[in-house]
Amino acid sequence: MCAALFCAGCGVVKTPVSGALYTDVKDGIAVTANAGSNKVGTAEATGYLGLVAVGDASIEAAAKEAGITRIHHVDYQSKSYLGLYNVYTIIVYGE
Amino acid sequence: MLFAAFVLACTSVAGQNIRGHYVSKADADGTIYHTLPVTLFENRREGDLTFDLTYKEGQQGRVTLNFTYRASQPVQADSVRFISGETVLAGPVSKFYIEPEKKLWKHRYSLQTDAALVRVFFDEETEPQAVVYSGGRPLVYDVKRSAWHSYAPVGRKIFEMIRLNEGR
Repeated sequence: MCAALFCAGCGVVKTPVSGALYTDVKDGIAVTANAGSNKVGTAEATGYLGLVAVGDASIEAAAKEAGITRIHHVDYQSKSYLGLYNVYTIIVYGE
Repeated sequence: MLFAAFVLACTSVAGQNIRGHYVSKADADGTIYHTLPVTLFENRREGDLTFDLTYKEGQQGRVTLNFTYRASQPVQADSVRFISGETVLAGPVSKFYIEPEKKLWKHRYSLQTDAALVRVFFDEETEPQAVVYSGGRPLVYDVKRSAWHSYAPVGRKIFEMIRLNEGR
């Protein structure tokens, strides 16, 4: 019963590999044909206890944070602590 | 309680390691480094101030300091000063956007500064302050001491790494 409740409380965060206890992983999403980058913008979404998740981790939000109008490359970073506290960060490179 | 201890253990391990605090990417014209946003300043009546830094090799040692500050009223900034001991990062700012966020106003601005100054700015012995100016009127954000003491060595290490990699 306790295990079932614990698992029900676990959230998931997008990641190529995950650890049950701790996850801290970076991965790529996209590369465009635009050349070069001298700006970087980030945006994130956070999940709590697998029950509540908030934030705007869109590429558009990350680009807006750095004034990027031509996107060159998009990565993301996932962090998870026991599946109870999850952070997803999108990282946009461009000009 | 156990979960809080676990998160603290993970973050303290990560705190001694700069890997989780920045990203980098090699381009044909030089590597670009970016510190992830960190909230080290607050004004208890207004809101907090978060900043991130972007450095691209081969651009005369210039750093872009993008920052977000929250205030109860919209404040059009014209300049900013980040003061840490004798080190001052200051200059005119350029605006990305101002928009409402719940009961506050969220402001996003950018400052160009010098990488050598940024490296010495991150001194954990100081008690820095960020001051946003609007028509000569200051809006003061004081440092969050424990956050600063944790982050200052990380920031310094990141910019020392950049200096070593660029061979300056």
